[in-house]
Amino acid sequence: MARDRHAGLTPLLPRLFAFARTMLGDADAARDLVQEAAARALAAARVPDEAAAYRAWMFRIVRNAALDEIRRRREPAVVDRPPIDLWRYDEVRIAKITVEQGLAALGPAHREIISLIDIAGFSYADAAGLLGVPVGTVMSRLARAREALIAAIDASAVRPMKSRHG
Amino acid sequence: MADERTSDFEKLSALVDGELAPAEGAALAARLAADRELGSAYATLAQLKATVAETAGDCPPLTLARPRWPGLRRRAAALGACLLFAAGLGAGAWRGSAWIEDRIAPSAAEGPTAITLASLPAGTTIPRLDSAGLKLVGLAFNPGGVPLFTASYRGPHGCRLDLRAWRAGADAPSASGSSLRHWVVGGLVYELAAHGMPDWRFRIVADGAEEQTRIGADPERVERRLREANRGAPPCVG
Repeated sequence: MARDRHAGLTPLLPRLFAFARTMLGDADAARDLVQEAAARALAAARVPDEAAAYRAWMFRIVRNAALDEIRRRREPAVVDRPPIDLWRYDEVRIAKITVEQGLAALGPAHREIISLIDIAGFSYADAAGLLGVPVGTVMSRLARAREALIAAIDASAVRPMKSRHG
Repeated sequence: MADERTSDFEKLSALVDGELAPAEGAALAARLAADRELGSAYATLAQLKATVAETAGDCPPLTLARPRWPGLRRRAAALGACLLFAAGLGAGAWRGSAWIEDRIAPSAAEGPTAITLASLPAGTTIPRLDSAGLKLVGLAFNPGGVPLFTASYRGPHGCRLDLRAWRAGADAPSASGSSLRHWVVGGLVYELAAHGMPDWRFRIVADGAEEQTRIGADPERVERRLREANRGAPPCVG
């Protein structure tokens, strides 16, 4: 009985979409990109057998397509933000809306590493394999990206309303 | 001092992710209790991670369609695939039809590998006409509506074709185009319309399209036939 080489694709779609959406900052573009990536995968002559390899392969396809799209768009350079005091930060400012705005203000490399770990759910080792870098680089890159994200949130004019208790 | 803080921040970030080695994690956790700033930074990072995860949002409903003629040849296995966004499931984002523009299986340029659509009636088929030099550039579908779908093809010399299908018995939508072909397969009426395409070429293309919608068609024969339509094809006018 023939084995379905792409049995792992459907369960991956939400994470692929979320990853692409964060990378591109645009749900419609992400939908198109994932659609195209899936078509490419289904057309591929060689498909990884093992589940983890298949997942990495699919994310690599989506990642490459996203980076191509970002290059094509020629996104404006990311503004360097003044350092902030990470050690006394008021996390009340961290809300969904400010994080979305902050992510959009980051450079692709920062968006990518945050998206891989926090949205796609990759371990550091898996992300390192996907990006072709050592695990230590993932760790430091992610910390820098989170620092940049907090700085972007801090620079945003949007402030979440504080919830009232009682 | 700054290097130490940088290192601490990296470790806190990894701790939030559960990626520190057990001994290192335990040592850092012990410091968290005693160092207010470290504790504050940990809380910030944990909040940040949780909130980033929330931003992922819902994925639009996606369905992978299966190719109609799997495994006949390796090249033919470069199958077109469609991800469908099922009608009505898009929480308002979907309004009856959607376009997939110029993004369908770019590597499937050499074989007439038809596409089936999972959310449309079984057997509904979108032919591929690449071998005739006509690229599928758009696909609008509307399950339950008339037409069920509209597929648009474009050639390099201004040739345009539109393929539509609806259930037999439904009121046919008004047709346009300088050449028309209708056929019925499996309870569906297909209509292929060309704009300014020479008749001889349209006949070949329509034969190829029609054959792909029929069960048991020979894809290699269809491909050979479609290639004939691409030989010395003049521009389409009109």
